[in-house]
Amino acid sequence: MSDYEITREETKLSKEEKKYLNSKARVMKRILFSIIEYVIVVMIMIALATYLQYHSFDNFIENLKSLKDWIQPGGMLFNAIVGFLPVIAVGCIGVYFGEGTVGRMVFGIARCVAVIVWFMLIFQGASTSLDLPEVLATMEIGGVSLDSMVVGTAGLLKFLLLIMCCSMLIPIGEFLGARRKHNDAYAHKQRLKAQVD
Amino acid sequence: MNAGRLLAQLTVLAIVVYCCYSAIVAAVPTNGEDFSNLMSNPVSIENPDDPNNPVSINATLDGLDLKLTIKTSLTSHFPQDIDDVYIKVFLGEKDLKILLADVQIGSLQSGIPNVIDKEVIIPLTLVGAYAICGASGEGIKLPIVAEVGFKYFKWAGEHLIDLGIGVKYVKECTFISAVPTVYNDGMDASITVNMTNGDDNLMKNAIDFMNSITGGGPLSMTCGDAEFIVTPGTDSVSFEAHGSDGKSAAQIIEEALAASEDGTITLDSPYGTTTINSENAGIFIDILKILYGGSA
Repeated sequence: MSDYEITREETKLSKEEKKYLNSKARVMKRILFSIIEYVIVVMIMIALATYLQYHSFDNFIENLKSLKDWIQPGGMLFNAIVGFLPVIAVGCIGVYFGEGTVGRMVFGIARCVAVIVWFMLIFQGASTSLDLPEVLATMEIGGVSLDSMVVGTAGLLKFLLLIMCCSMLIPIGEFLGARRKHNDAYAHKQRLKAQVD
Repeated sequence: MNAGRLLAQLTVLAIVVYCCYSAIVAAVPTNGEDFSNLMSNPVSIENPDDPNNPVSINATLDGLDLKLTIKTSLTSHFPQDIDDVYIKVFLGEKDLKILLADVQIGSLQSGIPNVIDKEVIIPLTLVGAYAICGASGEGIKLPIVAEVGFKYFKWAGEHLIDLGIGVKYVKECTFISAVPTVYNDGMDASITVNMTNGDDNLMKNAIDFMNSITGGGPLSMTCGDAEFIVTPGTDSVSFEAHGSDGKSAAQIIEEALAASEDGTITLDSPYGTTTINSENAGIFIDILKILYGGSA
């Protein structure tokens, strides 16, 4: 390569390399997308719940207000929605660190732990009794309808815990796989800094 | 391309698939023939003593209660044991449910006949009291809820399926409740339940049954200072509740419940006694409150 090309290569970090280095801008982008995603999902869930309950979108606002008691603090739905915020927060902060750094691995594992805590919040205790939505209760076949349903969730919880614990392997694998590229990019960045000084 | 992450993802996938596979293979028959057999005949019900009658039920009158002895034998064709099976029968729905019967069957082991020989005591007084719950002037509805619970799909010491399902069947009766009258300064209350047309067998059976216990006269039950009188007529039944000392019968029973050590209430009558267990005692008080003109 000519001198000119070598200089060109070394004055800037390539986009590829930036993946392996810390970046505040990435955090901002990730927070923005997470918030938009979260709000959209919550709105869809609420719209679905309202539709299932009342079978039409007329009187949407009044129906929304009557659903308020589904979303009581301490209730399952409330725990599920609000409890997911720490998971998003940990995910966003972790994105600050580049791939292959110890920080990214630590936050990847912390995110798995946060999801486990979220599952345990939702499935509190050994059994959860689900209040059937009115729609199901009025469905009748020959005079027989559903009155109540009690679901014990201890077994499901254990299964989900196993999956999340295994998922902790993924940030570790990512760390090991990207370490060399991270070291190269970091060294490149140090070289650039030395050049400027 | 991150080789480390890819490897880790494949490992996690392998572990999850293995766990799912081992759980399913243990709990669901993978042989096509066995599976269709299971779907058409999941549990066979037989009675070793009486081949013509799969479930034998013996009913005897024990004081004011109906004692049922249920005998049958269940063989489950599922590959795994079904654990913690129970059946509960309620009269009523949602918040106002009277527990009539609670049969704990325990574990249904797969492949071998499980003999079930259970005794169930049904408090008839509560069944009668439920007639008070019909709204004034409207037909009485008798909702019967059967709750079946079981645990299945054992994996790593826990059951993945742990269900209790309540199924409700509502029988509309052609007899009509009425507005209760409260008199004597709020201490006493009475209500008369009428048949609308003369063909309702359920009402006739109930009246005949009561006449068989009392020989045609009124049935009077006491609990402390409270007295309850049930009088069968030709096509009506009247319920009366008498309190004393300025307190209504509902209040007296409420105090008796608070004062009792094991949370039960005992009603005495010349024909026997009946004990209302702690679960139903609260409902009994709610029904009495409806009789006294309040709401549950």
